[in-house]
Amino acid sequence: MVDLKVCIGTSCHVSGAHNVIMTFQHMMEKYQLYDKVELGGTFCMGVCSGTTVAVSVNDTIYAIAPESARTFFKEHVLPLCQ
Amino acid sequence: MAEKQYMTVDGIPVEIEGEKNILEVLRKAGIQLPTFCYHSDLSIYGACRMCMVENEWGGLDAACSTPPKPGMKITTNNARLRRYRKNILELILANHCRDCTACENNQNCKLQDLAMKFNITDVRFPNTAVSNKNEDLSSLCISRDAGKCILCGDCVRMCNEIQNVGAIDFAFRGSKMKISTAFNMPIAQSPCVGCGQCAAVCPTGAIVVKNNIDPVWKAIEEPGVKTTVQIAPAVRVAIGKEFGIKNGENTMGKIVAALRRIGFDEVYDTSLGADLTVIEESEELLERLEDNEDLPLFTTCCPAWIQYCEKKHPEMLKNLSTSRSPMQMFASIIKDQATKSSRKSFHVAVMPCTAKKFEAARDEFKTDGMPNVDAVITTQELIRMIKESGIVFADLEPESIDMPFGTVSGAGIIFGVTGGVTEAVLRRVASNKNRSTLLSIATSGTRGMDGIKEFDVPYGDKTLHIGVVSGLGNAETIIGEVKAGKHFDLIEFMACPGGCVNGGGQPFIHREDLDARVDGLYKADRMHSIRRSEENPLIDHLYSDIIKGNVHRLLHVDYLKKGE
Amino acid sequence: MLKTREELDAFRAQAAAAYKRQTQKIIICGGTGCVAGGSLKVFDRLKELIEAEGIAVELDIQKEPHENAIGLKQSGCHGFCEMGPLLRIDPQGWLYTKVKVEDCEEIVEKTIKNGEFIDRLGYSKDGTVHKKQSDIPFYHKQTRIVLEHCGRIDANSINEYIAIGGFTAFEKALFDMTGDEIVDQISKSKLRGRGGGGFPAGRKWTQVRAQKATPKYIVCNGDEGDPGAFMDRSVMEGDPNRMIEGMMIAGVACGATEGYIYVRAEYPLAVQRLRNAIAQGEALGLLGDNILGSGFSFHLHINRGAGAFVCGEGSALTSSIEGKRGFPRVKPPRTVEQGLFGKPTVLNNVETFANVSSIINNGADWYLGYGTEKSPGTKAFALTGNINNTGLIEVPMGTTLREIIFDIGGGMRDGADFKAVQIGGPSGACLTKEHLDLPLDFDTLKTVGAMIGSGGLVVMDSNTCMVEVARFFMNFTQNESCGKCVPCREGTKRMLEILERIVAGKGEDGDIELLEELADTISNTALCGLGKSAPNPVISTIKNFRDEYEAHIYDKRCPAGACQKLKRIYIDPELCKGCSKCARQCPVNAISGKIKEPFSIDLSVCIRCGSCIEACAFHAVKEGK
Repeated sequence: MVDLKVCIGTSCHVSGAHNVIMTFQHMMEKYQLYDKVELGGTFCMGVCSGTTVAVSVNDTIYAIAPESARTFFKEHVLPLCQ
Repeated sequence: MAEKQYMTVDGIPVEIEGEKNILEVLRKAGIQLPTFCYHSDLSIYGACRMCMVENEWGGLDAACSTPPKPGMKITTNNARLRRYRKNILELILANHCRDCTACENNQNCKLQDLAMKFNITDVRFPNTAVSNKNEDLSSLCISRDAGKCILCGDCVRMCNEIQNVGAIDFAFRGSKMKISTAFNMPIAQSPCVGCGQCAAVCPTGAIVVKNNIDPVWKAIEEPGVKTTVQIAPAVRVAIGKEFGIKNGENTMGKIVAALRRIGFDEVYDTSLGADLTVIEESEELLERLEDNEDLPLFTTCCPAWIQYCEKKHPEMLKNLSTSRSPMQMFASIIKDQATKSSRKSFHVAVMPCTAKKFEAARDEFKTDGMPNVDAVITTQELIRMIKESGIVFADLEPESIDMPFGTVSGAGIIFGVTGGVTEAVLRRVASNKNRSTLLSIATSGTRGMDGIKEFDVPYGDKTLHIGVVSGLGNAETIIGEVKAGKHFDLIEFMACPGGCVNGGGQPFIHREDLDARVDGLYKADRMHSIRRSEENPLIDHLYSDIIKGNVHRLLHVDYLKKGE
Repeated sequence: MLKTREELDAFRAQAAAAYKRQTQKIIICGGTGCVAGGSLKVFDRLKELIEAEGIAVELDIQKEPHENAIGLKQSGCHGFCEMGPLLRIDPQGWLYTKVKVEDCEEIVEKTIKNGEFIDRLGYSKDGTVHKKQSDIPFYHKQTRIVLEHCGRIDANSINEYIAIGGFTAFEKALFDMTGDEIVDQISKSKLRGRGGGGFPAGRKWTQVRAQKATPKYIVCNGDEGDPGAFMDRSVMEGDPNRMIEGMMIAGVACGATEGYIYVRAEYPLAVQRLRNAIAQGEALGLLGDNILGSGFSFHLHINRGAGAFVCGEGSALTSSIEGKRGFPRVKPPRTVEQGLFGKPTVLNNVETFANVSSIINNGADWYLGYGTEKSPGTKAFALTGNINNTGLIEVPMGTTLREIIFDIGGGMRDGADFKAVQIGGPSGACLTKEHLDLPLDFDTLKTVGAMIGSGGLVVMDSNTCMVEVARFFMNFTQNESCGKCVPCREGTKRMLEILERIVAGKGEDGDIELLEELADTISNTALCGLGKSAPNPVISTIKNFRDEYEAHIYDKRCPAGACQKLKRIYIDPELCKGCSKCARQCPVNAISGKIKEPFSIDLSVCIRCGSCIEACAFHAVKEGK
């Protein structure tokens, strides 16, 4: 199971954390990954920047722009699900 | 500074300020001339001849179609004009069903109003009207009765000029003239999209909204049936005026209380469905932007718009969003929940909209052959139900909607006004979630009563070009531009000019009073702590619970297949 | 294809010469009336017989004429319709009346081969045979300007039209005059609209000329909907090029490049002749682009009506051409500013256009020499009803009714008494004995509450019921009302209701006053001319014949003896034997009496079926007034 976490701390919230969550949710629905990926929210991971959202994939932390959430999922999560 | 220009009305000078006809100048002078066929948004028809005024040479002019000129001297009221107006009213009444007590529009009728004002006590001609409500039962949205038609032409002009649908027009000539579809075909087979704007402008009871109150009462009183109801955003700011409350005031709390008194088991808010729509439609927009395919995305909350697209522009069906409307999304959830219970479920939607009656009956929105929304009643029908029940609406203590679907966002509430869906989507799509973003979206161009709004919004390293359209005539214009190659990323379409606040099922108001309803919705949004759909905690919950794995089945629809 | 003015002039000279060379011209009237009487069969038979004689026959003037050819032509309406089918022989100017196919052999033998006149085919009155058309009293007092060529030239040939001088006015307007000068001439001539409005044509053209928007349109109103009016039909059938030339001149004056002729669908022959004229004009290069190298283009289209009288109203007509419902629209905007397709439009009647070429050719002063001061020129009238000479006439404005009815019209038929004349059709009024010496022009008639209208004159004798006349016209108007405005749609319906009750013997006290009240409302508040003038026949008959209305209502009696339901059937007590046969025949048991004593009829039950009259062997049951 891929452990996918999105930070919903204050800074990430303002930067669009929910956008990322919703997008990831839809990607999982689209590719039917409920038994392969576990999506969850997490508290501050300490990489607050004011414009990016912290995402961790199997404990590797990334700071992504919410607009690139789809691309990120395709590049970093989808390959792990093969 | 330009010199002021005056005309003389009944001996009093009145300033002319660019009005296009004498009728509008007179309103400034405190005179309301009687009219049937005049409507400020429609072309001048000049057929009822009630607004004749006398000029200084003793000749008569129709005030609605004569432009004011400086130095003009007119008389608006003398014995001769009164006699003519009375005669015209008498002639209309002689060919009109005068069974007012049994009419849907009793006390809401311009003819009644003017007959009273002019003190018509006798009609000297035999009554030749034939009232027949059942001539054409094919429409789910409206009901027509030729015996109540005064042939003012407002419905024809609304359908042809503003909505560009052209389902009805005049047929035959002279006293045999009637409003008809082409070849008198049942209206459901005509280009009619069910927007109900014809009913909205009809001054008498000739075109009225279809009445679905009876099945609702029946379900409420049937034992073993759980009745649930959802209330659309636009309803809450339109119903109060009917009960003596200030126009545009948000009376949601009282509506909920009234519905509970009427007997509904659970009362909900369509704005939650709107939140779901925002989430789904935003994802769809982002996906299409990424793939650069099937742009622009067309919104699909409005069933009259969908029918317009299906009937007139089937080649554009691929641009339609596959998301269901808020009403249908919410109904899906309710019905899905209901399968877990043994009680029969009857779900009602209170809508400002006549076309929703049609949408509820569409095959796409049935589960196991049963519609997800069992009945749609309009604001007008709800008003009747409240009155029938003897409830004094103004005295009700406000109550809140039920759980587990009791949280909504402000973004969902503004769906009721043109530009609201777009604004809600932009709030979701914007990366920056602080207060200033809300403000910049509000002022980006989404708001305002213009029929066509066009503006740009930055998104990441792109700029989105957005269109917001209300009124189907305007829809036609923008589709023309899209076909000619103009680029848009998202276009919001609402069939009713101004959006759902001006829906066919809303109580009648004058254009000037529409703004109060719009302001009421924006105010409700401002008062909500949750302003964005994705911040509504229920959304998270629903997606990880009921909707998980069922996004497509519950929340999406395929119009394209139907189009093929 | 004529490419320059010089070429046109040369063509004209050639055509004129060819026309002159035709030693004889046999002109058969091809107007709808005579065609209905079989004139085309006469035409065919004559052609057959003449050719059988070995004589060369030309059906159109030829470039290379045969030296001894005679011309055989179908012309437009001569106007003397009562005497049709008509046949004219030139150069003598003789006229044969009521010509049948059987007469053709004699005509060929005696007249065509030997130049002899056949007396029995000539028009005779009081024992005198009038050989020449111009001698016939019917034509004496007429001044035929608009109808100048009707009955004289081949209606199917543009070549002949050019041969007799056609399109010289157009040439003059196109090359020798400025737009201002053309409009000036028309204004000076005081030509007023002949369709009924009487609006100065010059002023209309000036207004369109001044507009900036393009394209501009010239529209000709050939809808002629008045029952009994056929002036425009005759011009369109008999001299289409004359009317077209008028439109072309208007086009030059106002800068319009497109023209529309709106012809009612019930005039198929007119449509055919017009189509033919336009096709021939285009082939010659007189219509189309860059006419005669001048840079001026003019394209003509024909639009057919579809049976709606209201489409004779200007804005309803343009609406119909645009493909929309024939509804009149509110004014402003006026047609001269925003007419057809929202552009500046000159909309004139057929007869108005037909006057233009003469005015341009002869000058405004010449035109002012005819008619009256404020209404110069002539007017074509369709003369119908109870007179001897029904047909089409053209007289100078200002001619009196007496002259028209008794001199030209030949007086009342069967020596009947003159009662009234309806002028202006369903929008018009009736004129009575006291108006017989009134000069007919636009303004004089207005003073007596009447109008010339399009020119239909229906003459009535004492057997005509004036209430029924009012009912007839109101029925027509009601049927033709477009339905848009309340006063006309509902008001005329109620007026008709009342009138129908009156002629059926169910009139009530207060009906006349109610009619007058409705008439006042309708004429003041209706949206268009149809509605505004709809009550005119009623008001006029009430004014002049109120006693007839009262007789119908209070006495249940029709003084003219015309209304079926009010016919008085009575039993003459002197002749009745009391046999009861009539009573037994009566289907409604209206007759009662004792055997061997005179019976009587209850008129309130009687349905006027007439069975009793038939049944009585003693002729005691009679019909009276």
